[in-house]
Amino acid sequence: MISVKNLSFSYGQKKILDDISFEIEQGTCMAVLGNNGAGKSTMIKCMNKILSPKEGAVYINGTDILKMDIVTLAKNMAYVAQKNEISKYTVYDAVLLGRKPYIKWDASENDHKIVKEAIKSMELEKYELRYLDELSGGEMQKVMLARALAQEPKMLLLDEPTSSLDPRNQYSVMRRICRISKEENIAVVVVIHDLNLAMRYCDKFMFLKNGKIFACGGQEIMTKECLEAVYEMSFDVLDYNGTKISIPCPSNIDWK
Amino acid sequence: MADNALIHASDGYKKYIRHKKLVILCVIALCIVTALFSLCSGSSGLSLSEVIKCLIGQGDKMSNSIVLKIRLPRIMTAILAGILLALSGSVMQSVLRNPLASASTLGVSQGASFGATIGIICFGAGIQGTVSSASAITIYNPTVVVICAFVGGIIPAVIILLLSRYKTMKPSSMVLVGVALSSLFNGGTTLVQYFADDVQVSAVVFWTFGDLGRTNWNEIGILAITAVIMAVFFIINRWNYNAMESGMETAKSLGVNVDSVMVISMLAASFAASVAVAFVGIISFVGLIAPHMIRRFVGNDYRYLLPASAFMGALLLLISDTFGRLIVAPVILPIGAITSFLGAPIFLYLLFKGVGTK
Repeated sequence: MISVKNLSFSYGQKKILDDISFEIEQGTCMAVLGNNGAGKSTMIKCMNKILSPKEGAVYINGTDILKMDIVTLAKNMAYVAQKNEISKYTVYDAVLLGRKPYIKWDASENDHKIVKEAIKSMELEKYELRYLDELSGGEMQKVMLARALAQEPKMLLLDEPTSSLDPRNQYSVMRRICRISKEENIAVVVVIHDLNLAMRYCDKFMFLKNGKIFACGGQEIMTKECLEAVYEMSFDVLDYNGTKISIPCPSNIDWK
Repeated sequence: MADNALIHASDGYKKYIRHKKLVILCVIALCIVTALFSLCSGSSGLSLSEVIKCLIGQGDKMSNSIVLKIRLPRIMTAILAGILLALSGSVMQSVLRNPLASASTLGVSQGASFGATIGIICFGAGIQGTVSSASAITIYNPTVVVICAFVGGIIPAVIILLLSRYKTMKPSSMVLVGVALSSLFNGGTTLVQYFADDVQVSAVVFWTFGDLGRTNWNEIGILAITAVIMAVFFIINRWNYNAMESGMETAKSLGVNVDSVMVISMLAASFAASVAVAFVGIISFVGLIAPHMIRRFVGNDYRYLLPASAFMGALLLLISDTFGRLIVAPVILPIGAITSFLGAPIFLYLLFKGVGTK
């Protein structure tokens, strides 16, 4: 069980996150939704100590990870940034970096074994020796996920992993994320803008508005009223073969 | 990397790693061959066997004098200064995320030169020699010169670090800051020279040319100890530099204390460059071009890039020095001029390629 309690963060006087509290079970995938500037990315950066939260705590099985040293934290929590800087690395070396928190002097036999498994689970074997700058956006995201898996985390934080992908790769990446959370029993928190992707693959949803939790729960919160209140525009929410889909109907926006 | 650790890696990856190790061995071999060629080359021609006899303590008095007192110290200085400058350059390029970073492009060398000038003139740590141009200045008190050079070199490093922390800068903008800082320190050096007497001025001017031929074995010892300590320190941090190549946020999430690694590595890289500058003067571009030249063969993986860059720096300085000694012999051209001729076109190529614009 991962539990976030009273997380707050400010840039100077401006409050970005205000008293965020929620819980997520191992093996579940939670989508963090909301408008730009709602504090979604800030929240997951605070959970991972990339930013220092003003107050609050993040517990994994009762241990406050914000009080852990940075290396122990990296063994418990992996993070995939929105933008990945592409260096002259092969896929294998990029995934091997996921073992960084475990490596004392050099990568051990076990480290290589785990890297190999992570590469296999993302079906990247044939790209193992390709340089990152030779990969497509979808392949690159798979590499980043493989690196995160190599960290053997209990929790995985993903900042807009599908933002620069075509629809086919968006679905492929989200399907993998969903599969990882179930197979590896990892709690996944994914910041995402695509409501339909989120509804299709995530178990839990959290809407942030102006730095506060507007709603948090399962499919039951994905209603027309909730979406309209969060995004301040009209929506239709339909049932399509048992999966909810949302259709934005932006009639009440002054497009000028 | 121990080969047995790679038992689970694919054959392709094992081959890829072997290739990198082979590149490092080739550079080391080239260094040895160039060093032997350089030992044999000069106005008093010595054969390879005579040189080897001297190295194993069986040479005659004349040969011993030439090899052990003139040529070998010069070659050792080239190797050690090359290692220090190249290590410093590759670490600066990593922690600043700037492919144009090096001690000479960021003003660290010029700052160190200014500091060393203060040490020599104001604190009397050096004196001009009287015998030949090769011994134009003798450093009495290397500790004072190294400390002064380090203090001078640290100032631009701290300014660059502060700027990169509080302002997002393009790599080329950072180099412009380096140009401004270099001008500042060159101005300071000129001012100190203005108030110095003729002997001191000529000593410092000669010293700033960059010269590998004035170090004695004590100074080489200091260079060697510094090179070993710095190499060990940087190699310990190689996984941190690899993580930082993926971006600072990712590095933090991989357990790297980015702020402290950045500050300590920049200070260490500045120290490495300052020690080299303190004993050999300003040698431009080696720290910039050695890592770039070897990246083509070993990539950005700092496990291999650091040792490969270090030996590439040594090789570049050895080749430049041998060229400078032989091209218009018996006149010895200043090493700083040779490396500038070599480095400036490569620097322009890097700018043209666009590495400084992203």
